[in-house]
Amino acid sequence: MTPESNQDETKTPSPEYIENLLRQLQPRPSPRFYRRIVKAPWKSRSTALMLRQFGLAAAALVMIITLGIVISPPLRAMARQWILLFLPDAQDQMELSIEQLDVQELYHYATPENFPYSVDQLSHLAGYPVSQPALLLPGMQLVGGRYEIKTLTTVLLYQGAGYNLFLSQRPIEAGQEYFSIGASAIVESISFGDIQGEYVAGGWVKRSGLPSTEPVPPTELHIQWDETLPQYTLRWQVHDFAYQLRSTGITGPQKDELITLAQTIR
Amino acid sequence: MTHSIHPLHDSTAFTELFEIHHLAVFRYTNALLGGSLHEAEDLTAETFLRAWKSRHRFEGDQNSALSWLLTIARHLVIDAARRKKVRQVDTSIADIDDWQPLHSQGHTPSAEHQAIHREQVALLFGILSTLPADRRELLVLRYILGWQVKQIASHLGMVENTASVYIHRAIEQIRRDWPSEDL
Repeated sequence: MTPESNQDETKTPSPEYIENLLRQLQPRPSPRFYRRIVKAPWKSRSTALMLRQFGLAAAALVMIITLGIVISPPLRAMARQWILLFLPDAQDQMELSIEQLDVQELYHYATPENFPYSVDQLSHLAGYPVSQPALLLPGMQLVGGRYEIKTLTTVLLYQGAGYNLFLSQRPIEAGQEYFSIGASAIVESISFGDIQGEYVAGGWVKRSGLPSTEPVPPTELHIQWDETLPQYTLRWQVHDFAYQLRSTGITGPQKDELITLAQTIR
Repeated sequence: MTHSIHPLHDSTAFTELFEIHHLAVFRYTNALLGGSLHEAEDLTAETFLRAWKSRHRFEGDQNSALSWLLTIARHLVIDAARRKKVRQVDTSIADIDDWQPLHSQGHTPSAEHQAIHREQVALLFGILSTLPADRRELLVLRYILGWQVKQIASHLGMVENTASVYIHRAIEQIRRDWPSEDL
């Protein structure tokens, strides 16, 4: 509304003009005012109260979780998995009696017949959408997938020049996975985007020095952690899923390339 | 019998009270003071500080909290006026420059119109300052805070029709006092 539109013949503003002008008087305090209010007593008490309430709530939560972990074995197992993506053993050597296990659960030879499923088939079997890298490394290709029903784990096998790459994913609620590392293994904390993960190089080998994934599965193994073994593993969790990228082979992708791949997994 | 929680039972509730009402209190004091921004800021802060100190004596609900705050603010404005012992408004164009008056949606006024508007606002404050304090407050509540006449009458303890008549007369007073050459 312009002044010109509100003047009458006697040059006296109309009541509407005055009213509109009054309605436009809507100033706001300057930043100086808000800086001053920050120090107001109700502000500081409010902040202190919130901090105190938050502190109490956090302490109670920690106590409940701690008690749960101590009392409940399943919670303890889950906690270990949340806190440590890798599970270090007490020592670098151990003996595995695998007669009580399904050997195929430990050794999935990197051959197409052991990874017979497509991604769609795997998703159907697992009941959740199976993720895969949006971009592959040069020369790398998908061989196929397998499904481990006991842990609800899907594993995709990729192969490149002289290496295998396994992408495992499973819902965390499915429980602990068979994978541990030696006590001396060096675990690096990795972060990419807002995701925290862990990386470790090395793996278990037979004491004779042969990799434990030799084609003929023995019924009893004496194995030792070897940090020089060309096996590189990256683990991380997103929401309710745990992921693992593991490459085997001298030319296999190592930390940086695994992280690059992990960032593209959709 | 249902007992409601005291609206200002803790600092969090008071912080919420501040967030909701501080603009209204600021605009109220600013208009009663004749447009002095910094002084209005000081009195607004002081209003809430006094309210904080006496919050346990407040017995109303959330709806009446603003009336309570404005009552405190009114006393502070009166005290400030007594201290200054001046009746002349000292609103400067610089004060008004700090404002962001409402504009028509999607329309940015030209520099010329902005200059005219600032002059008109300064003029309006000048005339407002000549009105009796109770009439000035009626206009502030009605047009700047946007209260309904019924709400104003309740707040000031007067008959609704009387409030309406006073508002009308105050507008007419401003019209009469408006210098014709300034339009």
